[in-house]
Amino acid sequence: MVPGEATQSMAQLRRGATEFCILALLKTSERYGFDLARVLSAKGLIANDGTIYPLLARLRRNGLVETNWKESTEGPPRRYYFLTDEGRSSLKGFSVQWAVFRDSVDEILNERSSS
Amino acid sequence: MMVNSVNDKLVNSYLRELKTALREVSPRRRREMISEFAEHIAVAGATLDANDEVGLRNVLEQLGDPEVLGKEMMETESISPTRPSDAFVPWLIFLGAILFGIGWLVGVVLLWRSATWRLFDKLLGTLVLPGGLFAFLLVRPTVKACSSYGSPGQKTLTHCVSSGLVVTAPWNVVLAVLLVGAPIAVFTRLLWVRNYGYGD
Repeated sequence: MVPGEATQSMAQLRRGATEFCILALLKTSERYGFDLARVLSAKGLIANDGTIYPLLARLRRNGLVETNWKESTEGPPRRYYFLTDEGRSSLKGFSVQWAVFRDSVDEILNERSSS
Repeated sequence: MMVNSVNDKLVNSYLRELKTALREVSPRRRREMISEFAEHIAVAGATLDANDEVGLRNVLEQLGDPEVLGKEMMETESISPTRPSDAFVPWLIFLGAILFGIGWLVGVVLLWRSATWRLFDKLLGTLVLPGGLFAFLLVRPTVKACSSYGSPGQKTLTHCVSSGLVVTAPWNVVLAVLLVGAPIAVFTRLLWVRNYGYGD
């Protein structure tokens, strides 16, 4: 695999995982796009704030999140995203699968580096 | 809110670039994206002074390069991009056969190759009615021209010339309405789907 392909695979992996991070962030409270972007960007999961909007659009299309508008004390009304029941169960499923996936990848990576 | 004209220009030019970068995304999705970005900028801008050009530039930079975001959008969207030829498809199917013989056929081929329309509309576009509006001209259900001669007091002579398919009067009307109405309805639907998508 050439380095460029590795970067591309990583980008896809990151994007897939970021979708579930969005769901996880919405688990306890609803949030608006700008807020979500700030958190994910601070964690280094997204390079640009704009990246989350295609992801949010897809999550909404798949019925995992929904939106409603709310007045804001400062500035214009905001579109808040919240989890649907389907999103909640999808997140639960991902959490289990992710743990197994992460452990397996770690295990194999460590095996290769020690051999 | 930003009312400063330099800042307004910056925002408008950013959104315009984004719109161009999203040209291959369906119009409905494009509108959604632009409105999300405009909202993000407005929310971020609310914390800035009205004249804070540097602050706004930082917001836009943090949002990302429109060209790069457009590519990301295409990768995230599993749907196939719309084709430039989609714009002609409804017209070709509607009028293609009248304007130039194989026009309708070209339209049907493009319709089936495009990802913009779903199976139901592809069938609709193909079967209702083959040839589009040309089907009406072909059948010409109402062509029965009658002319009357004579002056007041005289016996009136009626001379009728008919061509095409001659059917009895009430059916004439029904058939004509169907042959014209159905292609118009299908044409409108295909145009609508291309412009606004399926709403899901």
